[in-house]
Amino acid sequence: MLSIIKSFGLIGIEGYPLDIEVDINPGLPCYETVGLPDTAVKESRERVRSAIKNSGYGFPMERITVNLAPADKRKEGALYDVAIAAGILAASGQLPEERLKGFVLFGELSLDGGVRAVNGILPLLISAREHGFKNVVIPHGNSTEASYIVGLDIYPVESLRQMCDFFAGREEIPALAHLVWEETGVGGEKGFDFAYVKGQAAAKRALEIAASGGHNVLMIGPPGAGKTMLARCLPGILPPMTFEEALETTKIHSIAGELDSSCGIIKSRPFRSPHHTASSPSLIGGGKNSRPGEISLAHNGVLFLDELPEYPRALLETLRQPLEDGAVTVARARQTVLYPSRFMLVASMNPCPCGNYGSAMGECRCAPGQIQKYLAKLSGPLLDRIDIHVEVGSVSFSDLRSGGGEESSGQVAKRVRAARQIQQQRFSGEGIFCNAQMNSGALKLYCRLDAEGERLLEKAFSALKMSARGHDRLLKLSRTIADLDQSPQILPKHLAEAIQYRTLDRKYGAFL
Amino acid sequence: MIGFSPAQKAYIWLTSFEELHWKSLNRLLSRFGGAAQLVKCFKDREKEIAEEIGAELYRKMEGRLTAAYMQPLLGALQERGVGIITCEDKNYPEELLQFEDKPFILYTLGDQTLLDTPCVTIVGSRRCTRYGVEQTRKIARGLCEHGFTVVSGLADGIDTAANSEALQRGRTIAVTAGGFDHVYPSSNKELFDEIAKRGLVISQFPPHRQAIPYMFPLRNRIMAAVSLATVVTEAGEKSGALITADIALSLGKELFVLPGNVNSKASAGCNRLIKEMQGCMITGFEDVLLALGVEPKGQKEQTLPDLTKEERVIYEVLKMGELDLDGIVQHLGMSAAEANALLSLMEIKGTVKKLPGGRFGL
Repeated sequence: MLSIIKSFGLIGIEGYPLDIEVDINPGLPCYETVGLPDTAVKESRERVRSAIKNSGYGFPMERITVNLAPADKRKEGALYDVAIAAGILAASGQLPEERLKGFVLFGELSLDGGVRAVNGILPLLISAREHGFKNVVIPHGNSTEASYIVGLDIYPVESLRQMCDFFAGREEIPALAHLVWEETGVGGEKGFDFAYVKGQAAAKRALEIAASGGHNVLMIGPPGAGKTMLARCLPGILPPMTFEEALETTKIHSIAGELDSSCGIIKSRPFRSPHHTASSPSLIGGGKNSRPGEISLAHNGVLFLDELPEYPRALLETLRQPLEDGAVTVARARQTVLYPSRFMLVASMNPCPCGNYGSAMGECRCAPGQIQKYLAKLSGPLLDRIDIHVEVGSVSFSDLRSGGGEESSGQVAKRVRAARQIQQQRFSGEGIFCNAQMNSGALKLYCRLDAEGERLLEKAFSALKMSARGHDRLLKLSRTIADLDQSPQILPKHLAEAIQYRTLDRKYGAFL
Repeated sequence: MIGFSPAQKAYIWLTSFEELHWKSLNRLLSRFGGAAQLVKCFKDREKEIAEEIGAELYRKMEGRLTAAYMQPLLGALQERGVGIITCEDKNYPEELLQFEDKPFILYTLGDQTLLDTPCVTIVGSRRCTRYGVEQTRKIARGLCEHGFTVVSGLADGIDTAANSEALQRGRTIAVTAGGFDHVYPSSNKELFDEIAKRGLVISQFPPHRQAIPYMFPLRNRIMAAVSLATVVTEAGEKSGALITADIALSLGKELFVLPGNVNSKASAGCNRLIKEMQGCMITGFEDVLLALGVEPKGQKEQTLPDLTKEERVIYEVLKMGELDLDGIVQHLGMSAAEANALLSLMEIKGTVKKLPGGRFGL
């Protein structure tokens, strides 16, 4: 007998419908799984067999063929166990097939018949809904994640037995209650608030500007100055995620298996800091299962590269495309997968190999040639994408102990939000969302300077010997600073402040 | 286009043969009474000359006593605008003549007449501190304002500070170890070009020679020789600047040394010199001037730069020492945004300098 059970598979964060066909014919007992199953799917045979037996049902000793259609797409993961078991039970007459019609099934099986949670439930459910399905059975362990989806009747099950009782009408399972999304007041995680950072006025202001205009940041300073701490505060001053952003972020984390099952949906902007020994697939995505990389896990959040010169040039080169497009294509033999990856980049570095160049507290032991070489490592594609350079100095002990009131992230976030709103209005309908994304046409339109501003710009370039390469970026920063000041026109003082954040445009590394 | 005298052409030809040892050349020069003479008689006095330098070398040199050989040599120099000063020329530094292994030719770019002005050499370590750089600049500036030409070696650190400050405020001579085609360190290429235009660059080696270690003490010798005095502003225990100091003393020149913090490794060499040598310590350019018999001009009234009210506030605070933005913001109760903007404007005016580490100073 033939039975067909519906399920869904994932390519990247997009789902596609799957038919699980189970055909049982008389003959010598054998069990074949076809349809390009990966190892986990192939091994489902053993799990399904034991689960069925241990749930009190009979495992048919006949020719069983399981086909996962479409047959030319690779099937991955153990999430089809439940559907396959249901198919076998239906095809052998142990489950009423009509009751299964219109249902989509997901779940991994334990040998004892229990149903285990799977990765990627959120995008799978969204896909099911988009394809017009109404009823879904999912593992109980995925309930929290699933409860944010509207428009579906979702039935969580703990065991194969329970699911069969449900379909046979012997047990009632209430559909999952829908959880309403509450916008949290805060963009980032607790514990990383500007109020906890002493001093560092320049760095905090730089981050405020960065958050407002979507600019990437490079922090330069000796070890222990607090660069990592400051970077971790950045999500907290960004506006909190909208439901759409949260959903998107959760999808990606779900597929990567990074979701904390108790909270179900990601509420604060992600902060990812891959180590400089990270491999290319772990950073960009890919590997055996086309797993999303760190840059996608940082989508809608912050990617922090600590000690930038330590990262291999080739690895940094791979970031160029995603930074440009906001998405990354991970290609494999049979398919290409597109993952979103729009993040804010924060990088940090020491000013020289020993870390003490320019520090009031340590003496730099590096030879001048060493310092130049160290800084030269930076030139290239990544530096071109970083708008803000800020020096972060060590805070003296006395400053650390002083009680001075520091502004909280919440207060800064308010200003950031206001600036962002201005940009939303400015760019509505143009496909970009913040000043950092402006191209030269947009610059001409929105960043015009008055005569005094032009004069100042000219003087700055000659007096401070700034490189012309930073010219456009200087204008973008000025635009953001003007927005923060609620000023429609870029004034000379906005330009003047922006200059302080283009340190590397000057001949850095020479105090001569 | 620089024309070369017969003597100069002769030296260019003679020194183009690397196998010709300077001892032999010296002997020949004294026997024949000069390079021009030597070249004139070269073909006739085969036996004598071949006895000195060997038959093989003689034949090689004789074969190259041609216009075809000389043209490219002279051309290469003339194209680059390179001048030369031979040991027979009037403006060759006298003190160098006493060395057996004196350079036969000094290659120059720029204004040779600077050698006729009163010169003071300033040297120090490559790995210097901000203190060393500041003091070097002050001394260079002070000396320039009183009509001296500052000589230094275009190396990283103190030399660069001395050469560049003197270039801005007055006159400077840079003596390089290698030839002009290979500026060392390469980061000073711009400075080199500027000095070649508005000052004087000297090298003992032809343009194509790359700088290698043994050339540096030779360069130091020239620096000590062309000037009236040598000033060491900051030198570590093993700094090459100390070699220059030694040579200056042995040439009978004045030596002036700036002390440093006793804990500072960067000044260890200077402090040692002061311990070992009485009377060489200075604390400013005025000491050098007085020792050389020049009255320091009265301190010009510190004309306060043209500042707005807010800028004045920052100026006063920075007068007391460098500060980072945090310090400025705290002291003055401004916001970071305001302070940043003001600082940029003051930087552009030249009143304030941005220092590494995100700090500001006057």
